[in-house]
Amino acid sequence: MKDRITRDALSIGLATGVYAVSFGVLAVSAGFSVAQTCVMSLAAFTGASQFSFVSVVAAGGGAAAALPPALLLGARNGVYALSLKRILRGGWAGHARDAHLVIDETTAMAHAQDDPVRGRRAFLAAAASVFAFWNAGTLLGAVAGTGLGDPRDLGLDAIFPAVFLALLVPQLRRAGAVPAALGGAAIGAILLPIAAPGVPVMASALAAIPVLVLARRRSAP
Amino acid sequence: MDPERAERWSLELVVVPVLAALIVIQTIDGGQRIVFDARAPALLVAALLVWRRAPLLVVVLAAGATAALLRASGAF
Repeated sequence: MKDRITRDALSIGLATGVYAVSFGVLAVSAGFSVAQTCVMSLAAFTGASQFSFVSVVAAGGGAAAALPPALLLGARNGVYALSLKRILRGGWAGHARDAHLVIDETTAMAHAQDDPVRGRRAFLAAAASVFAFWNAGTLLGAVAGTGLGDPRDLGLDAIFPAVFLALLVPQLRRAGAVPAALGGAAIGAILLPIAAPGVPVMASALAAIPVLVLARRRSAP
Repeated sequence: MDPERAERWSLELVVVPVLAALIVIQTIDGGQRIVFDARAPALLVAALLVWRRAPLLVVVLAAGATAALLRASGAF
């Protein structure tokens, strides 16, 4: 394919689809019906939260125990939405649709572009691709059930770090991005064993603050 | 930097540490503890390919294959 945005969007969609298959398998083996599993993917559309929700239910916790960590994991999408201010536009209905589509993959794709026009195109292309593959994969996994074996044996848990690394690297050219990335990685690793799931990723955003403060001080008269 | 560019830069910069943390956590998360398993070498392979400017699909497939092969070999 000639166009890089289309090609990358399809690749991310495919990776997400593979991941969605393992989500479908996990949800069905945790006792959710095929229909419930598919509705979850359509309505929540946020992989990490769904995995967390289903894992807690599978471990014997009820919905009341499963919901807070899932919401915490989804909370970073709020930070993303803020960062995408120039890319998300349109009226009320457009905003509502775009808000549903603000996830790790679409945000990273949008920010990996050089200008807002390409950014918006990348956001929408990734959203369409990920949405299609995520839901198709969920259905496939839920129907196939546990017959597929352990997703880890297929290396499926290793593909997302790779996806996000590929999308982060182009952004490191921005001023201050390297120290911010190193700081975020450190915060994530330090908090991982001690904080609730979802908190380390959210807290990592704080690593941008010293960089921003330094830049402001430097530009002040 | 003019104010509008500065604002855009600030907003975009906030996402960078979040993505970096996401990469690290998805690689070493062992259920609220740190584990080094087949995902870590898979990420190294991915990093090498990203540095060589390989297409995204190649990066993704190579990372998955590395983890799968390492697990199949019994090394992890």
